[in-house]
Amino acid sequence: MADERRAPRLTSLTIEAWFPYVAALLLTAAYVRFGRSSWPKEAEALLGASGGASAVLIGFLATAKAIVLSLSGTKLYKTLRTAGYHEDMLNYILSATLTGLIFMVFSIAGFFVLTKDHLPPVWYPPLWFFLGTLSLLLFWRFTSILFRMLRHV
Amino acid sequence: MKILAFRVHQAGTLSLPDLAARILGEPLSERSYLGRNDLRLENSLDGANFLALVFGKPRLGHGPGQMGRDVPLGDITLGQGRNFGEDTAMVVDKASGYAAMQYNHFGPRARSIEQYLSTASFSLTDDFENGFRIGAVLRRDVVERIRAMDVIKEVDYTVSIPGLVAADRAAGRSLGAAVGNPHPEGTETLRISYRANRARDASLRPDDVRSLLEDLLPFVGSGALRNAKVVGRMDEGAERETIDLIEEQIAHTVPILPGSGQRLDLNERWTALRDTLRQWLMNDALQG
Repeated sequence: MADERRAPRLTSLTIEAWFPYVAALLLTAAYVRFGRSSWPKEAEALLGASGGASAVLIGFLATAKAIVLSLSGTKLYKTLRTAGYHEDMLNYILSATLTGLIFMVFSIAGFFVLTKDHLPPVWYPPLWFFLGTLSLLLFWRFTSILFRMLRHV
Repeated sequence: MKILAFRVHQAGTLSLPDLAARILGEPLSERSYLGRNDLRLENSLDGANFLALVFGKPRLGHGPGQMGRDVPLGDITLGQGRNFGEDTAMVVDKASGYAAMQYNHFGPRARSIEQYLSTASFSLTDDFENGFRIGAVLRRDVVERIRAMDVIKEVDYTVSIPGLVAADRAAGRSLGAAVGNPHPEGTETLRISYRANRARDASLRPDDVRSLLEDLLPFVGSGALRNAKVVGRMDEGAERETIDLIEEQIAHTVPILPGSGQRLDLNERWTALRDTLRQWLMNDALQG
């Protein structure tokens, strides 16, 4: 037995699980630190666009989930299941869908919370940016894996 | 019962007896480190000189039935949550790592046992340096005969490429990398053949062949290597000779009669394995 426990290794699975969150945090920090454009006074168009975009992503993810379910009888899916990867795949779909939903709700809430005459609360723009970036990265993570799976079908 | 010779190589600091003890400390349901329906260590006996192990694996899909001389073949009723199972017994000489393993066509083979032991060791210790490699032991003169070949005309081998296993995930391979693999679900067989050109004295480069064989030898007897042959001549005037690596693994057959359940008794198997291994070691039949 080893005399000391070694530090956990940074595996590709760990990186794959955490990179969207870490990347979104870093990009948000960069936006807060270096971003030059201020939050628009009339933000309805921006909020509408972001809410609409996230709705499209959620719709595609729902379709992608159906595609994954249709692959459940294939040898590839059974292999992934036996190897223990199907839980990761389901978590990736869930996190992408949930984050997209939260971003959509957050954008819609902005219609009611933000007013034309006052600047938004200081936390709103960074949080909006973080949720938007995160939902895009989570969406990209899952769809890139899905398209690799489809190559084998 | 056919018995095959192997050698267990330890990587890291966790020994096989320690690993076996740790696995046996887990409940049966928690011992399948390669996946829920995959093999597990059923039992072991740690003696002064030898470690006896038995690995079991559920036999899924179309199973056996029962029949009699004047009774038609029929189903065997299994209890709730039960499957047919196949097991492979093994005895390891703790000092040298040489092992005698039962050959069970349907049971766990050396390669999957190797994967299991490695996955179990780094799952239980969080240390990826721990693991084991199980290589077949060939007849002593096989490697020398290949080395002595002056002209090597052909190396032909067939492998089955395993698909993703739980060991990949336990080793931290990402899902994206797993599905990006050209054959994540594995392939039945892949045959590779290297041939020298037709001229009588044309030969494959001996160093390349030896390097290739060093890579192949650990897979002999594992089930992953289906076929491995080297064709060549000892010298220019000699006849062409084929060396079949699969056939050259040290093996021995002992007669054991099945018991009432049509299975070979485990203690009898362990005794036969231990006695065979002891004989091989005493006769210096295994390569040093």
